[in-house]
Amino acid sequence: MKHDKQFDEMLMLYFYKELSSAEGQIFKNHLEECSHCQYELNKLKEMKFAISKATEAVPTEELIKRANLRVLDEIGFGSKATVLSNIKVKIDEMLDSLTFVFSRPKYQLIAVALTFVVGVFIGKMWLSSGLLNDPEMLVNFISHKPRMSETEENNLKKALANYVLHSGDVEISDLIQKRGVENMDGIVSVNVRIKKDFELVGGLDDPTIQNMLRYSALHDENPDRRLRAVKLLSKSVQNREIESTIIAVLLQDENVDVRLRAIQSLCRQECSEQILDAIESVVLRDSSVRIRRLAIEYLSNVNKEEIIPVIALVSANDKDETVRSLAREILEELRNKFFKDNERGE
Amino acid sequence: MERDEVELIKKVQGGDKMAFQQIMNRYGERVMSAAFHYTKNYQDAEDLYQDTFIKIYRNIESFRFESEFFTWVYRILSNQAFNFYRKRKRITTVDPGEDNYLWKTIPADESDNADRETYSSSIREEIDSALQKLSPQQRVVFVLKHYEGKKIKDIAAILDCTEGTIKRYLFRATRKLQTLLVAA
Repeated sequence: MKHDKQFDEMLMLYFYKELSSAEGQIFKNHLEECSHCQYELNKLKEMKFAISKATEAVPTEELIKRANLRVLDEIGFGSKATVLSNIKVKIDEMLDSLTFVFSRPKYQLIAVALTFVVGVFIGKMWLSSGLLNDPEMLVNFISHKPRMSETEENNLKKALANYVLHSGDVEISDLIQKRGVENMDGIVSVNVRIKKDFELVGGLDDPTIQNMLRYSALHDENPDRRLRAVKLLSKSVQNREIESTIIAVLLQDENVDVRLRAIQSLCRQECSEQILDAIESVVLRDSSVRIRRLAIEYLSNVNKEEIIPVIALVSANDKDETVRSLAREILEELRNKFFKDNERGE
Repeated sequence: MERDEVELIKKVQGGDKMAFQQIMNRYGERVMSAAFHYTKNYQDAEDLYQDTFIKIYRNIESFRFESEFFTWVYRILSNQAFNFYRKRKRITTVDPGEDNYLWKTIPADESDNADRETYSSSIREEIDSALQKLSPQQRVVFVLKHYEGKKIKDIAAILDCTEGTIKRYLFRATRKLQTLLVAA
């Protein structure tokens, strides 16, 4: 008779006496006619016979007594368990439960996935805290990242420089205007130190370079670099941020040359309310005669009547005779101009 | 479940350590034998025995009389055996160390002569070696079925698996052992 595979499981269950009497009878009927099942059953019986031939180790009473004593000793029979041992027991149980659960094949994948998620989470936290608190880590990362093009590296450096600019951890170590390129004034190299040196290269229209120049103009300890930064900023396409920076330099910088470069830069720009206010302030307060003179000259070119009181103040109070004299001349011109205009108007 | 067994368990749940000693005396031999079937090593069997009873004592409060007590004991023993396999990876076969005298060797046959003893020991080594080749799950299921004589549905209850899963493990273990032992 041809063997039917549906009897494979029945054969095992029959061998292990797991079939009901009805099922057993069905299988017996099949067995009488199936040589394959007869052969397989014989093999199973041989295995059982082989196992039954082996010697069997049975524990003695003495062994059980000894093992029991050890167990009783472990569970603190006759003595009160301490808090510490209770904690230890709880931890052991927890670990046992966890290890048992995760040792099952169907949970192993979950365990791997869980470990991965937790690892990523911890790694992300570590990395983000590293980025926030340790810019050096980023600098090292960028400096040693293999397979990165020059442009990619430069962009990353710029991103980093912008990122840490607000923290004040940036130090400008050099500002170089590169020569010998198509646009003679366009390319600037800024050597930045964020705990570690690196170079940023970009045009004057590059926002990052502009940011670094503004930072250098305002915060650099070296007056030469502040001067160069102002000079380069004055060559950039002007915008509100650059204008504000140069005004701040003019009003705050302690170095005369730097302030001078700032006022020269502002004088070349189109007059705005902000610039006018700054120059009015400088003309009355700046310690440098040269700067005050430049400021007065600038004001004289501003065709506005409200500057007359300021010039009048300078002509009366300035410490320097040449400035007062210049102020008087300008005042005279302005009075003639505006008074004549007024008379004509009337 | 017998009434005196229920009372004994309740006493242990109430913190009576003497009652626990009685439980160990009652089930000790069966647990130790099963532990030996799992480990195939005297020392490891004793360790497994101790771990099992310590675990039973610490968890007995969670026993709710919903199954046979010994089924519950077997479940703990089997789980401890899984832990044991994971730590050891492989079974170390019988090592006749200094505690050898604490185990009795029952001859497989009534005709207890020296040749038969040698023959039986060599078969046992073959069986131990064949058991090593099974996965922990297959090994535990085979031991529970073959040595402990448990029904498939009881093994499923002990190991908290479906009967289908138990059958799969048992059939694979049997086929593997059959190939290894009958061929040998």
